Amino acid sequence: MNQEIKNILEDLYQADPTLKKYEAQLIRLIETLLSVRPETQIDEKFRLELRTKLLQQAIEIKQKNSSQNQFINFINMNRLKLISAGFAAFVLLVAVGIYYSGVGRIAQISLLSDQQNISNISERAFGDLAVVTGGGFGGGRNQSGGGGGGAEVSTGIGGGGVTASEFVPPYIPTKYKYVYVGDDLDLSESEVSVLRRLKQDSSSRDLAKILSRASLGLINLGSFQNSELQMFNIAENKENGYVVSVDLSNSTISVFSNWLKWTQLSPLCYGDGCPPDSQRLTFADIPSDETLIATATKFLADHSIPTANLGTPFVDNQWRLYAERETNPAYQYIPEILSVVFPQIVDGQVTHDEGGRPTGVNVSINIRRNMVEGAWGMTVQNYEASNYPMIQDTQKVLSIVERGGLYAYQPDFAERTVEVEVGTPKRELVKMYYNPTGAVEASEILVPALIFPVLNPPDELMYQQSIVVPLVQDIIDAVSPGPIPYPVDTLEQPAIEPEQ
Amino acid sequence: MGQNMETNENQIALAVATGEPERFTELYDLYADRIYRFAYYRSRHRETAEDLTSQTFIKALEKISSFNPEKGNFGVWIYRIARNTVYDHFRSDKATSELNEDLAAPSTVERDTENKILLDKVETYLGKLDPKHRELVILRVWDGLTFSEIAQITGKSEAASKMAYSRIMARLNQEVPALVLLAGLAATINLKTL
Repeated sequence: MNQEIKNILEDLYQADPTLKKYEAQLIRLIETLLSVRPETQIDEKFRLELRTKLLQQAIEIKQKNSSQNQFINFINMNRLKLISAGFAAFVLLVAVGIYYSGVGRIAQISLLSDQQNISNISERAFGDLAVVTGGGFGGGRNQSGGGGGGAEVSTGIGGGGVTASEFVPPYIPTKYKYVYVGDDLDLSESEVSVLRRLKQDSSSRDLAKILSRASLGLINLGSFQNSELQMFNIAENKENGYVVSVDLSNSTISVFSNWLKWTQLSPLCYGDGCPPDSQRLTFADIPSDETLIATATKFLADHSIPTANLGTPFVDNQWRLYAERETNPAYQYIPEILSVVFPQIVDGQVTHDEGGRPTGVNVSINIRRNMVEGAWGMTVQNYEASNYPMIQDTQKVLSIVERGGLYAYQPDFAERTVEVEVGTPKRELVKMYYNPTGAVEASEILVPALIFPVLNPPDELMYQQSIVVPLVQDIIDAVSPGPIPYPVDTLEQPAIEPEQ
Repeated sequence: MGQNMETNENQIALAVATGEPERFTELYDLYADRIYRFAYYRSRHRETAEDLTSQTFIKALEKISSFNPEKGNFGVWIYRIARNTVYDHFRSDKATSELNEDLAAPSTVERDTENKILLDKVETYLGKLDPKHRELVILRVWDGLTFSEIAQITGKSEAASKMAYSRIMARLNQEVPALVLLAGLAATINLKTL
């Protein structure tokens, strides 16, 4: 009986203990209900496109909110102030409690450092990796079914002219035939090393333990069993100050602006209906990538944020894909905040997200203020490494490439077919998430993968710059063997108007 | 949804609400798959599920300033938006929803013929349940939400949700021996398709 069923049964027995006598029947009933749960996986292209739209909209909202919703921001900032103040008071009180109760002196506790620890453990120690999710946390399940046949073409969202107000563009069936034009693949190794990040290290545990043993006068924290400090914030009480958020449970640190202490800038406005005195940014206002990288690098240095395991920084210029296509200057949206990404290097390899983009520490810079507004992605670098069988079937890897990735779909018919060339891959690490059997919380793993560059992406696939193929046999085996066709009768129906 | 993760999500949501909306993508990465599946389980139609997923996240981004972690965690909040979005969709376009239902079963690519027969039978039975009860079963068994989360999403008390759920399951267990037989059939089919 798996954990999912156990949990459901426990709920039932809590509500009605007499049901226990029907346990065998209930297990079969629950198994039946679970077995008929529709198997589905979010389409990766859809996921990426919606993500890009949300990012674009988020930046637009930021512009509008700076003037129109000052009151709302004020309320939120006060909420933040209360939270920050609460944490600050908490830390202070705890520190006082420690001092007077004589629990012990706090030695220097360092969460982030230049050190990267990788412990080798037994083979397949993380269990079956077939349960890795297709992007993001959560219990993603494997595809089942699907058609057979050669994996030669895949599909994306065709057509253009998508405006910011449209949520979902219409599906125009276009086939994309990914053609591998790179060198021969070398898949001669029998095993690859998968890394799992350890979320809690001894430093965070020590700090949590010390603080949770303290007495606050009003309440004795020690009276709560197995209590632990999970997170705290430290706010700078000065103009243009920052809030440092420390998540001890996940061993991560983020820095963001303490908006209570930042002056509001006049709002930007884009489009035709802007007031005459409104401001908007132009391409000329964008500092060079070198300047942005220098600003971000200085911020990390000023705050002693370790960089030994970070790779060459780059500016995330995805916004240009949209802005540079817009021919009307009034509508050329230039973001106020730009991100510099310092890719995380683990075991000598660059980590990427599942879209094939390098990922690591992000530093966001407000180009109107010429100041860093925040930084996140700083994590304690403790890992376990376990060997897993490597995919050695070149044809299988290429078949996944040719269909556009692990979760690509194919239409059964199309108005046109577009050939997209894919070049020689580089081998790097891809950050994925999976739920070990019985675990509620997802684990972060780094999986060796081939990242194939898309050499000539058409406009409608401009966001797809890479195709990622993990090298772990478990993961590949869990993917549907053939192309996943679009249901024909679905495509024949008119698009459903989104509710506005 | 683990407690540690919830705390982190709430923190990100607050950052989004207080000046860093671009960080909404972090929340999207956490929930895109789950919300899509939530929508798909109810629409059984891929494009509709994508449409509903888009609407849910757009609304969440637009309304993020109303998110208050003291009233519940971000996960519950976004599921509530998803639920309302699904309801609104089917309420506002009944004809389309009926069309979708017609489309869903035969066109869903993940099902093979045998599984579809099984699924149709079970769906026929679940369809006889009161809609609220059917939703409760789906929220717990298919969406994998805890009763604490279900209670916050549906606005019912946790105890009442648990009690109703246990009664439904007891009723299912008594009234549908055929369903249990189908479990054996399902196992056979799964073995065949392996």
